[in-house]
Amino acid sequence: MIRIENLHKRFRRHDAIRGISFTVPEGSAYALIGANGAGKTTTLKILMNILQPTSGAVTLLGVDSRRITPRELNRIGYVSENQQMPERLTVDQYFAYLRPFYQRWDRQLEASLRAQLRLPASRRIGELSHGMRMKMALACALPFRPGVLILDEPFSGLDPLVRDEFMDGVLGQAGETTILISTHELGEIEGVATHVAFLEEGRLLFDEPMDQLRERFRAVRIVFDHPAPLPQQPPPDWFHLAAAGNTLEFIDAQFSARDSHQRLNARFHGIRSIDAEPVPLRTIFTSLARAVRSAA
Amino acid sequence: MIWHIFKKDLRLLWKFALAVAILPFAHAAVRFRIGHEFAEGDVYPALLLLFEIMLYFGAATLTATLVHLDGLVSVRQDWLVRPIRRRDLLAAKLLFLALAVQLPLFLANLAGGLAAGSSLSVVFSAAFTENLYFLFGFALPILAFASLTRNMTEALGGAFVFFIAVVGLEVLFIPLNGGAALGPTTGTGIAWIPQSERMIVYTVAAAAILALQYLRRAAPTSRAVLGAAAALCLLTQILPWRYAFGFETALSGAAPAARSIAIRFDPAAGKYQSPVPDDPAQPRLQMGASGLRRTDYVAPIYLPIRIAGLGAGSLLKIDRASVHLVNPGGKTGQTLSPGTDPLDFSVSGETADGSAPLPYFEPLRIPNTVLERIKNTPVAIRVDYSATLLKLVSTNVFSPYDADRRIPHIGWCQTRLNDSRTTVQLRCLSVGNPPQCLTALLEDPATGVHNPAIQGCLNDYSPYFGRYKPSDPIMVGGANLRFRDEAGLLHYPVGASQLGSAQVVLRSYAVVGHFSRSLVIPSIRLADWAAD
Repeated sequence: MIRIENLHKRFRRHDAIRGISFTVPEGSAYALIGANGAGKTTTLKILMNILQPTSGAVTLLGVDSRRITPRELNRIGYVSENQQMPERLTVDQYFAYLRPFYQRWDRQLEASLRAQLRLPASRRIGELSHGMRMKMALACALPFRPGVLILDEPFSGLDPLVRDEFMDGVLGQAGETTILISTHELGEIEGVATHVAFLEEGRLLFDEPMDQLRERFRAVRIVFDHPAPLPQQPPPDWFHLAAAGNTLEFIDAQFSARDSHQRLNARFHGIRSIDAEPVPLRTIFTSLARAVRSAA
Repeated sequence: MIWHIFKKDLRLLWKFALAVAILPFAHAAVRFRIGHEFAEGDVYPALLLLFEIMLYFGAATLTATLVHLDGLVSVRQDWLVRPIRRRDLLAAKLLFLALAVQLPLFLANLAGGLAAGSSLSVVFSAAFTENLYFLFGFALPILAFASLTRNMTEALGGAFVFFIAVVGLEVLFIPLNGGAALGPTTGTGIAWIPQSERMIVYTVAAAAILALQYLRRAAPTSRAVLGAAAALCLLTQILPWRYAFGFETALSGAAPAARSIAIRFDPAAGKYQSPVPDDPAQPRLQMGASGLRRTDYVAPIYLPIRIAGLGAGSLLKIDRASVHLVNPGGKTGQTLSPGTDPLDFSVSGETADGSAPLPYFEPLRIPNTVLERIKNTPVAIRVDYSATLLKLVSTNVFSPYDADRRIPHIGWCQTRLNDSRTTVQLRCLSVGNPPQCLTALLEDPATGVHNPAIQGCLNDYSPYFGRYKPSDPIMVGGANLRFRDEAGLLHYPVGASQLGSAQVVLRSYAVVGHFSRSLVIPSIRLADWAAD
């Protein structure tokens, strides 16, 4: 559905994207996570042919992104936090403007989305709050039942209530639409994303299915029968090491239920117990981000 | 979808578009109110200028706003992710410009021209070509320029920077241009050639930028095209005179009547002395010619010449006279004077006795610094003339009192005595290009005696009509024919007492052809021919 191979993007002397590759499978909800400036928005804009890649191949719906025509755009929904819609048109007028461009615009779906997201028909777009505009952008991206829905930082600046409404709108599409969502609001995608990729300073640090990621990231707690030692040279995939009393805690990025206990027992002596708990996506993200920055 | 996008733009901009569409009609209404411009010192000409400036500024800002509704440089525009065909978008913008700017301008010019008394065919033709001139010379380039900007601030700022850059380059070009900033053809009848070249550059560059921007959103390439176009436009300004005049000569075709014309130096005619002091109340015949290049740093040398072979009813206009020193070996040396003020010198074929050619004193402008060096030394000079031969097309006679006539190829003419009853005011409203040259004089038909003729030339040989300023096709020309001096110092052959039986004679001339002549003077001391 979406394939990116060795993508580079350079803005004058700044390398925004440094050779990333990933594939978004059809029907998935793919989360592209990363800190501000990691290159998420640039990647999505290249995908939409808003920006041109410096090198690399990007295909969307089987078409080179640079060759995207209205035929493909008829099947792609795009919502961005900084999307500029005609401010002096009313909500009603803008929907009326967009309808004829789409071959499969579903007016019933439009009506239900507008009701669900509570968009004021006669209000000018320029008079809408940021949250309302994001909902408006979403409502404009869904009624033609897109095959691909690309969401660029859709949650930024939204209050929790609007986020919920927005996610309800998105989730209504899950399954029949391939969703690519870029965000650093990890809590919002936790229950939605099927795949996740982590982008840091233009590089892709990992790209894998969400369940695999959850499986390999664990918060490990080791209790010793003597004061816990703090390893001088821990493995690179251990983060947030902390020793207190007889307890050593860290995040293991390569945890394996099958052999991690064995490896830990071989590395340390006097282990009384080992606990390994799943970690929230936020912890995974911050762990990786800090590790990359400290390495840099 | 073109109409659909157009309707969206109209919904957003209809108030602005209406305001801009009204401006040419307001301009035409003021022009109609002014009429033949007999009244002096009223506010209407200033209002006319104001509407003109507002029209250009309004059309430019409307165009930029129109483009920015669906901006091309920004990466945030919603339309970029919609299935909107880019050629439809461009076509919708062009349609909007055509209907909101070009059409009102055309209709206003049509109405104004008809109100000025011209026939529908003449008015239609002039309004149409003027409209094309506005489109290719202004609207399309503005559309293309706006497509390279994100918002109005950027558009205005960019235009300012662009303007400063062009002025800067022009300053750099001055030394290449013999000290003249605007190029050798500026202010002459063949200025239309570099103007047309620029028009072609504007059109090609605008088409290229619009295609690049709307079809590929290739802003860096488009900016390079803009820069190249600006450089090319500057280069057209320094188009060498000989090439431009050669082109004009080839275009006008051979003029057999010009072959017999000879120009010779006639020192026996003596030194030039102004017959009367400059009279500021005696303006030249106004033909709407563009401003002359001012050459304050030059000293006038009046060369006495005789021109032979000029037939009756013809007029010779010197478009340029360039003076060169000739080295002892006969080779051309330093150029003393790149040219002459183009309206300064023309010669009529009507001589006093109808046979022998009269002497004329041709003003040559030589830089003071050069003249100081050589003025007392006998030098050999060569004067290269570029000249235009015109023939009499029509002679029209009016009463000096409140005449009102529509004359084909000239326009709607009226006469009126001024309030102090010292001058017959002749004014003609023309639509499109009026005749190339006109002469007007006050004559007593019983005796054939007449006051000095006033002559004016359009000084524009362009084969098509179109101009930036004003944007309407109407031109007001005229002359103030004095017959009485209130101070009693001047005596006129046809005075106030003869005015009852006198008539105004208006002659119009058309271009027959252009030619070049060289006059070599083996030995001349320039100081001998300086004006007193």
